Amino acid sequence: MKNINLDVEEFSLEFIRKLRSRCDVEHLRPSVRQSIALTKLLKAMLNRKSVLRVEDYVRAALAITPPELKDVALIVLQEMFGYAQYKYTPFQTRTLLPLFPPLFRSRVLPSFESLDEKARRILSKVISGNPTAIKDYENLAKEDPVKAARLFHRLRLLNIPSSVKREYAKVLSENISTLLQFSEVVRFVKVIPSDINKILKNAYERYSLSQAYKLADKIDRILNSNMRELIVKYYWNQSKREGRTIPLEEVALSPAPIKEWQLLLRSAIEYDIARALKSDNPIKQLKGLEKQLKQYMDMYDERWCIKPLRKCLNLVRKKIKELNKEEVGDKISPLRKLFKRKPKLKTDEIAMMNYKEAYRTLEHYEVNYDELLKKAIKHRNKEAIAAMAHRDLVRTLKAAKRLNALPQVLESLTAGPGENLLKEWYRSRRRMNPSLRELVRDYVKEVLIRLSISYTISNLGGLEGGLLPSYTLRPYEPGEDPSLVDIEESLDNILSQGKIPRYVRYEDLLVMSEERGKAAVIMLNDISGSMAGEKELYMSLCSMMLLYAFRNQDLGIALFESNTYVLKRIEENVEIDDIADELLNVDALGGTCISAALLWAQEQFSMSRARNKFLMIFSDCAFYDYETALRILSNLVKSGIRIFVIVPAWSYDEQVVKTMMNMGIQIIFVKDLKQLPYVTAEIINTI
Amino acid sequence: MESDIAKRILTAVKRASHEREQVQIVLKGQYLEAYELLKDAETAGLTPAIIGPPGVGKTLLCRYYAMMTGRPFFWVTLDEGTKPSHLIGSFNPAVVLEKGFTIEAFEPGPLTLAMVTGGVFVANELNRASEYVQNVFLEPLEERSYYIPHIGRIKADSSFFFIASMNPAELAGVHRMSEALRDRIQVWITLTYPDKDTELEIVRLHCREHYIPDDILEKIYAIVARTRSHSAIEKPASIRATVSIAKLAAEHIKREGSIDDKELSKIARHVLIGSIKTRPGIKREEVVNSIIEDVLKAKEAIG
Repeated sequence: MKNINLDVEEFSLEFIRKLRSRCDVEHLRPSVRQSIALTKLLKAMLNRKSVLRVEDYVRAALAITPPELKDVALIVLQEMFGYAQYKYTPFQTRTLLPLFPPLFRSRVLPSFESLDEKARRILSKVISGNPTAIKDYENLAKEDPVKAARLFHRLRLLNIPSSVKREYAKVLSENISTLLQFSEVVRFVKVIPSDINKILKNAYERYSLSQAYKLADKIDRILNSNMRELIVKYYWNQSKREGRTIPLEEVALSPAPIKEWQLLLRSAIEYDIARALKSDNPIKQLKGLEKQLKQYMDMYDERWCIKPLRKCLNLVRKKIKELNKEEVGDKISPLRKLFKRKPKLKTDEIAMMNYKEAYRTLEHYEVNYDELLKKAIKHRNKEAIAAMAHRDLVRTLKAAKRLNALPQVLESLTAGPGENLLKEWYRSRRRMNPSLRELVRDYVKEVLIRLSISYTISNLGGLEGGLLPSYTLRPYEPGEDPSLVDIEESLDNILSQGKIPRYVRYEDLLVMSEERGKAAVIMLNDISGSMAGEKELYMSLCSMMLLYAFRNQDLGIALFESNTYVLKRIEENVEIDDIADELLNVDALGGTCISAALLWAQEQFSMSRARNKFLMIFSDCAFYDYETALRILSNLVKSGIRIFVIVPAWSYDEQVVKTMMNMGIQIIFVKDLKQLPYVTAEIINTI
Repeated sequence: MESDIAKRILTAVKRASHEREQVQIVLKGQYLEAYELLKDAETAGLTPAIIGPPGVGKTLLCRYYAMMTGRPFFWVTLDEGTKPSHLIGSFNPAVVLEKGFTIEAFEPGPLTLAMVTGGVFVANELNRASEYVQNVFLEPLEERSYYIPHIGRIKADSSFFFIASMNPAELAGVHRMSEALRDRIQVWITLTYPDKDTELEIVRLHCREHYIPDDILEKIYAIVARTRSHSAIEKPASIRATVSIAKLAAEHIKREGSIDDKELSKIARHVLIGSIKTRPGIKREEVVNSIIEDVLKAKEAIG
């Protein structure tokens, strides 16, 4: 630890200037007050110690920084004390090698997580050059390797010798002892555990094959390694040694292009066949097995996955054949082939139909769109054109372009029920070219606004919703401004009790207060997943309904998947038109991370002075970050916010939903997406 | 007028000042750093806030600071229900009706007392108070005075020192600190669970009258420390829990002559069940049992 000769004022100004430039949040941005405070604090330290060291500057700078900015302050200090960024080379060993690409869609990983106080202290010690830092780091890694990894993620940016960095990496790699820790650690740094065998052994003792495989898959996606393969191999060897059979479901969900997986599969299927043969109804059991295998085959596209599964399927079929030959055979295929091709109908007939008939007919009949559009335009049948566009927007627009009939098609878009157009928009907007998309969006927006108004009126009885302010009489509370006391009401109250002045108490004095009447409502909509079209349509309608219903209240709306899209902040005045634009433009990336959205909601609630606060979430609750999410939700519940979660009944994460129920969150299941606006209206009415 | 108020209030706290208790603290590591920062902040005329999870010794440190600087100590734990009168004091309505808004009718609160007597005032869990209450502190911090309606302005003694203490944001309610107050707090001292050596020293200090072998203390620490890194636990066990387990273990040793893992796990379980908070939906007993089982490797000890 060296003494340095820095000008206290200059250091303070420079530190605050740099901190300010890195701070994105307006209300947290440090002011001149902080520069003055830092100067004063450093001078007080100088008076006490007579000499200042680097660690004193670091300590003082961190002390005057509010908690939310301490992490940023550490980065600024790193820069100020001459630590430059350098290109990071991952510490890899030869145990793990890239083998086969991930099978599942990758999820967006959190880019930055803040340090906890212990880690922050160690980092400030490293910046100050304190030699005890490595010892502290070792303790931290023993206690919690994930926290240590998070810290190492920051340490690697420091301009310290790479030998020292390797020392930190070694400490970390020696302390990773479980597969779960490994999968968490690699989210921050690419450090491999020193003893992979220990990890494998621990995984075999703790997790089922599919659980271990999932964790290994997380690791492989980041490291591009072969952890899944190692897991499958280890499970095969161990289960063989112990004479244990791993269930078919576990094996089928953990595929790897290696012999051991095929052996595991073979052993599982043989076990299941043997069990089926011993049962009362072997054919029924085997058919169940056949169906199960077909489902597994549908899950994968890779040949190396399908081939072994097909072998198993053949084995099962062979057994079925042996048991009952009549049961086997494809009886339905000729009929199916007949119905697969849509019969053709004369376009003249469709061109004359009304919307409902045309829309229904186009579902069942194959038509030439160019020909049909030409005829519909000739007959000036807007309803038929609308039906075509609502059935296949891109195809209709392409046909219109070819026929130079784009204006006629655009004009006809708003005919017929708006739901169909919106559904088709959400389904096909990504396939349109940008200029055409812009053109069409204006028409779709008109429909969205019209539709949401009609939904609001029919469900809520009008466009002016919300709570009315009311006045209440309540007892005076000690410490309040005595001028608030309503003299007449208080005198009435005291006289009606027959009290003389000596016995008058605080609560006998009455205060007239205005109930703010305001409610704060936040809606978070999950836009992840593959339900594009219908889901987006009804969520847009619900968001618009809320906008009308709570125009005079504190309302916040956000959409989330891996990212959070804020449509309206609580104290923001927005144009309905702009919101409709945003709703029609949002593109989902995939992955469900709700924490950021919940934190945003929490911040919004803290800004609202409304007494009644409500949070509405529409989601299947399959959150990637469910641990953090549940913690934030629990905080929200504790602070008196009523939470409603609308869950699609056909697909949701049972465990998370159950936990939320235990927390006192109201869960509403919807069997059909069409119910969503009605359920939203019901919630609004209870508010 | 001002001197009258001061005299009256001084009489009211005379007894409290005489009965000042002796505080014992392990002043090393983060506590020494925090203590020095408190000293520097006061010298520099800055207002500090101490931030840390429950049970890390925030209040104790402030109490110790007050004791070492020879000043009376006042503290209030704030929450959503706290009113300005709980800090400033209020008029007794019965006396007001009889004598009017006189000094006799005024009952001073701890903030007023601290200001007049030049004491150390700790606003515990400041971020749980409503903005209305948070704003009460603005004038004492900025002008070192406070205006009490019907009485007048009281000036703070030169040695009055205000310290805020609060839990980290994720443990508190949803109240955000008012920007005005936030701007007036210039030093943010963070405390966390101490390192092993410091915590064991704290435990030894609190169990001075007891004998506990080092290996037992190590086991107790290992159990408590595990609660602080366990993903299923929202609020881990504090130093208080370590001290409680150690004291109970020491009593057992005094009675029986020794303690085995089975008994230690029973004691730890009794203490931890009440001192941790698990994440929603997770059973406390299960987590506690698994931690103790993991640390002591004593499966059979847990019923």
